Amino acid sequence: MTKVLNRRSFFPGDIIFHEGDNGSQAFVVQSGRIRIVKALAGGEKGTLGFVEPGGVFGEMALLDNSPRMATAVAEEASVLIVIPESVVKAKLKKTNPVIRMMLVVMIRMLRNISEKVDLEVIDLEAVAQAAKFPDVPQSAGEEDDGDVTAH
Amino acid sequence: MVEETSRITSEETFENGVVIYRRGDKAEHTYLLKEGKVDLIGEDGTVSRTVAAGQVFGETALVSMDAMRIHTARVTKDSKCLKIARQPLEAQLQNEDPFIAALFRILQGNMCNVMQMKKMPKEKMNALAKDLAETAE
Repeated sequence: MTKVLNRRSFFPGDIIFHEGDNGSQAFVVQSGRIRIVKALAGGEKGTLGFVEPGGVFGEMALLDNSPRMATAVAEEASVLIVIPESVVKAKLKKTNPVIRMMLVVMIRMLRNISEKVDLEVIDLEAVAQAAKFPDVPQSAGEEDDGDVTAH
Repeated sequence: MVEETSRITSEETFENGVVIYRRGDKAEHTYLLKEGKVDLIGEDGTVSRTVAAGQVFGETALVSMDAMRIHTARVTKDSKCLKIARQPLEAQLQNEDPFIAALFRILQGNMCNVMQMKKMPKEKMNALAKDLAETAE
């Protein structure tokens, strides 16, 4: 069975997706360079990093059904391989549940940390549910005052 | 799949008052609290965070082989945990779809970077954010 990979080309300055958009695809950089930009407190924009050929981006929104946490802009003319949501979800379905859970744990932590410079608590109550991990209760979602330092 | 999971995870029960790990211990396991309550206590002796059922703690172990615990984890209500072992988890990753494995590595790398950043005081973080904003212009 041959699989046809969907590819998209971008000119420098083209936006692949905006922060806040609903995400449905992940991307692999085949060639070029992508800048990941985030709005900071005060309305300014900061560069979170660059994605080079071979790098994956846009996967976070797929894994926890959240809006895009940053804007992706083509820094140079780029060709991206598009990984559709259905493909990622199919792969996740076959993934070991502990690994699946830890993927979501890491994403939630990264998402929380990147959202605020003022570090706040991470609530991971939906993590096990998102991974459909057997016999784990959904927590009552208590508020705690701790900081987000890893433990 | 069940067999694989049982290599990676093990269930442990802890009575009220038990210390699961101490600040300064080598971070070897990540935990999912299935039932009960755990307090994470900082250097100054105050509770930094209270872990409720359904939540994960001890995630440093997942990201860094040499990391030391920053907090002491003490059980405050009889608890049942799923203990996740790093080595079997890493071994299982080799059997997973390459895209998933790559994704895991990317996230691990990001976590590592972020954890190093989190050790920075707030003023420094704000200054860094300001620098980033200026560079982006």
